[in-house]
Amino acid sequence: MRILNEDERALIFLDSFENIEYKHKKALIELYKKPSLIRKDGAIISKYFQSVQKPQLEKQLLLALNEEGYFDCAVLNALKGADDVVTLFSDDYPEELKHIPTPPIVLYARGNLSLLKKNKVAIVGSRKTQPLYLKKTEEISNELANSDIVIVTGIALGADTYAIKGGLESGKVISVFAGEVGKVYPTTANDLANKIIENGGLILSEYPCGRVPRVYSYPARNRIIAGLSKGALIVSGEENSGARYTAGYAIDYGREVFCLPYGIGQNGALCKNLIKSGAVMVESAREIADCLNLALKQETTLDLDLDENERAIYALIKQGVSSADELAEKSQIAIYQIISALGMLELKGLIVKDFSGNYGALK
Amino acid sequence: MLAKYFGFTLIGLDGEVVEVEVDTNNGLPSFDIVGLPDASVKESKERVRSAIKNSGKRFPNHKITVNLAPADLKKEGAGLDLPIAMGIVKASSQLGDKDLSDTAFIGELSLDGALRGVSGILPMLISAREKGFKKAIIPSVNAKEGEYIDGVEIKIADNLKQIIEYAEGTGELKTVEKLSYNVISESVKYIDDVQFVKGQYVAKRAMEVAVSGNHNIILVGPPGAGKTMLAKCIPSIMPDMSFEEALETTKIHSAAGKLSTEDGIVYRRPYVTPHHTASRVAIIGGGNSSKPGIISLAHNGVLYLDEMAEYPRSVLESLRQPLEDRVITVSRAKASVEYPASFMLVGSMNPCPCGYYGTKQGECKCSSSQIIKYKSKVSGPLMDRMDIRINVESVKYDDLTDKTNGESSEDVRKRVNRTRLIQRERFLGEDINSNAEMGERHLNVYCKLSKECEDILRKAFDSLKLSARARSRILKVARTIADMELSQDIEPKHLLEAIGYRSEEL
Repeated sequence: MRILNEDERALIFLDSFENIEYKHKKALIELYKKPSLIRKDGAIISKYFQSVQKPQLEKQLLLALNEEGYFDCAVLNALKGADDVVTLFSDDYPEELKHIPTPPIVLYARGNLSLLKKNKVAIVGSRKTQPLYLKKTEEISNELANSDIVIVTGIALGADTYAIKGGLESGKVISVFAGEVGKVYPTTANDLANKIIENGGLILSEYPCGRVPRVYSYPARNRIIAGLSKGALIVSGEENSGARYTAGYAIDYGREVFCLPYGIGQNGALCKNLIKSGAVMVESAREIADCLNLALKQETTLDLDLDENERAIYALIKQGVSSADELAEKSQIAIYQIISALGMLELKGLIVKDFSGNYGALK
Repeated sequence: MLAKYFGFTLIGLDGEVVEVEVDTNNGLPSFDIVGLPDASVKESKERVRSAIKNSGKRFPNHKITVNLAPADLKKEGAGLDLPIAMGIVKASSQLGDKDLSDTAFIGELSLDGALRGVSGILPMLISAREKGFKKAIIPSVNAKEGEYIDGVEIKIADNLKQIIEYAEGTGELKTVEKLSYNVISESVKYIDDVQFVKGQYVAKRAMEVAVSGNHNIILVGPPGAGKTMLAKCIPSIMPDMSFEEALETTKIHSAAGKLSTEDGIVYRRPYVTPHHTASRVAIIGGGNSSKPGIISLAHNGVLYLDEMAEYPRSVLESLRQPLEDRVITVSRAKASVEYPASFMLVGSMNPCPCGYYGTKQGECKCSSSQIIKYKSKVSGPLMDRMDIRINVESVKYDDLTDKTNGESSEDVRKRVNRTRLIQRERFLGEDINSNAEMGERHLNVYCKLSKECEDILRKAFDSLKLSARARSRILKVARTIADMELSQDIEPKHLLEAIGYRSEEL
């Protein structure tokens, strides 16, 4: 950990009070102009909290300031588990995030902070994303990340995990946690979090050490994901999915919202609704990059050298025939030939097998 | 006067000769049995006393000593009643001088002198043959078990009286007629036949591959998809049981007392499906006399674990070693016994606790942590032993009403027999019989891949994120598929099909 200056330390101190609302912290910072003065001048604190009629908060903050050693201790405790911090007053505070109405005061970080300066795109979705869409998520994420565009996401199972997996190869991944950076939730994602760090990615959180994720911290975390990014890709979700917050914030902040298409009778209500209200429907990384005026590396060409059986089966899958049994009935090809053709198509990245053994065309 | 007859007791799966010596002396009337008898042998005193009395003979009023030799062997079971009774009758000089030293006596007595059936007759008869006995007298209820044992003249009796008359030379006993195993094995019919399974083409094919290479298989699907129905058909497509296999299986069933009285030999491959509340001892074997468990009853057949994730972890984990070694050693205070346990493990699972995760029929209502917890109940090492994993979905209505029957089990079995033969010839001189048993060393020799195949496998590794363990599973299955097509080398299409049956890393 580098040596922090007084402004940073004062912001970390102020930020570490869980029971003081964000608006009060923000107001105090604005009143003080220079955060380091908080330590020296308690008068503004008294005046402010009296004006908003929160005497107990005033008492709590002043007590903490006057107690010997409390300040240093609070700062040290807050920083546990983090490698670095970025505060509202740091030079490397991400530009995009500054423009949102409620920028996090302190961002605790683990990993490669330089990613904050690059172009970022958020990719989020539901935990129950279908395998076909997971594969698509991974593919888009991979293509963007390989073109030096940083993927911003959470770390939940499902869509988040695949967005991360796609970006791991090039390490262009930022995962924003809803609790402290030192603890991964869900714990099953521990490995994934370690890989993010190893591969040069970044883990961010606005919460100091000791703060566990709460129901309300997820929507708050989503505002950071949306705020950091130039655009947000919603890969899946229903009407009540958490991803709707990310989409909502992105719209509020004037960022582009992208959605993967869902068909009639399929779920994916969130994406459908967003598209109806003006989100951009996309099917590839290229479309996202074009829309955001970002450069994309030459994409890999499709391996479309298929034999007769493979071509027939691929065509049937595109028509919506999804199970191998149905394919056997419709195509009159022997079942063992179908299974091996499906294997080939899967290897060529044209189709995806889902949890229940059904196939869907990816391209 | 001293009398000596031969009986048998069961140690694990093997019959052991017990020399029953009876001596009567002058003194206060008493009746003692020495030579490590267990409770059921000790109790024979009372049965023998009444049985002799009710068979027209006198129970001697002497000091009677019965010695069961060898003295250090623990004897159990009521099968020794008969030689003890014969010994007492003879020792009290109520029997002629007919030489019965080449005859084995097995049977439990009831108070009226009738002969009751005993479990484990078959292994006892096998060992009687090995020990050079010319004749054996067994209860008539157990007659069927004697039908396939050559080299020993097997006589059956209904009660002690008949045997006494036989020993006195005044009566004859019925002799069991020998049957040829081939006759019965060729007429084997299975009730569950694959021709009645509608649709489910992938599942049927995967089952054939699994059986051909003796691979373990797991069926994943929502409730009511037909997983159990499919599993029930597996024994019907398994290769024909050889006489040795049948005898081995019968031995276990006989020792466990599970042999039906209608069939003397187990000629159908066993299909055993323990309930998921079964205890570890019930499944593995044990109890205080080290009885064979369910996995040994499934020897040479199918062990089907329905709803695999519902079994206690300890039960599932205890299957790992027998799956590897194909035998199970049950060690208990009284005895340590090795039972064969070479079975094909067939498991079924729902994709999640509610059963509908990712399926077309219903919407899954489980949280992701519930699903992870459910799947993690079957540990990775056990999953590694499941070479083939397929998804089973309910068949459509049209398929159900389809009147045409598919291929019959008999036709499939013919192909399976052929594929197994190829494997047996290939592994001649090795310690394995089927592709599923191949280790790394065998894989290097028998599963060499061409450049093209190697490329496919590498690609599969990258794009499907396969583990190193998945590689050997895919190779083994690909070898089986190649064998099914009588192909010397593993070709790309075989490999691709095997990739289609890969078990997902859960």
